[in-house]
Amino acid sequence: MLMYGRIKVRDTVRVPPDKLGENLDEIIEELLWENFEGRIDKEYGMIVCIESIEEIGEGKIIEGDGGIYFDVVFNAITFKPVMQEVVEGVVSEIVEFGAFVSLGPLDGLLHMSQITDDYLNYDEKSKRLIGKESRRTIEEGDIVRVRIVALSLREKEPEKSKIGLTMRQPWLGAMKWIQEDKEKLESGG
Amino acid sequence: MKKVFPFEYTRFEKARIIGARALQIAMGAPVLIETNSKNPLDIAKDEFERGVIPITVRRRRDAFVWLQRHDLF
Repeated sequence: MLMYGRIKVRDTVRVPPDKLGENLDEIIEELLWENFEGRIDKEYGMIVCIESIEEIGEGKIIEGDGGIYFDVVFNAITFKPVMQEVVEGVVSEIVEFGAFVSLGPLDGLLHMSQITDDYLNYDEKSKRLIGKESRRTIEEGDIVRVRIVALSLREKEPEKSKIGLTMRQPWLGAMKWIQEDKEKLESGG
Repeated sequence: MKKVFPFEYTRFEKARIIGARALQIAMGAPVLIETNSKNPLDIAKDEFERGVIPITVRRRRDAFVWLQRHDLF
């Protein structure tokens, strides 16, 4: 699985003057959190957390600014969804046009048409999607196995990143359906 | 007579240090000495005189600095 990775990053952090009196290591860690958490990079994915700070360089003072600039080397954990990857997630929300699946730090969209071969009806009262013929249902909290089929990570606006998912392939779908299929197969064969 | 020059900041370096420090104080950095003054520049000057400013100057490797002098005659 290529979903999570650990990267080593070198970058410059500006420490504002009013934060100077306190413990420098703690402040830099805090600032790194503020600056990097949730940031998305095309190549490495989304930075989920700062694991450890490896090195804090000498501070530099630049003309016209009271802040001090530190070169910092740190380890970060990244989340990078990959095209065609099969992942498991939890259904976080059911809407009229499909379901949102939480893959961890990001949510993916599972469109109505990509859930089953069956026609699906949206039941507004119970917030469920119900298959017309198979009577299979999917609701919030279900664990599903999905494949990533569309990926658009936005570096500038991380909130607008989109992940498209599908379940219309053999052995993909809600875990309860897969379990049913398995039992059917075992009893039949 | 041989004379070794003590380490000393040039007037330019001094101005840069005091200026940077005064700006930091003006922007809310904690003051390192006891003082009644409200003027950041005065505070910075006072701090420089007492040698408490935590700023050093990185000189270029080929920068001109007086190190020692031999008087020949």
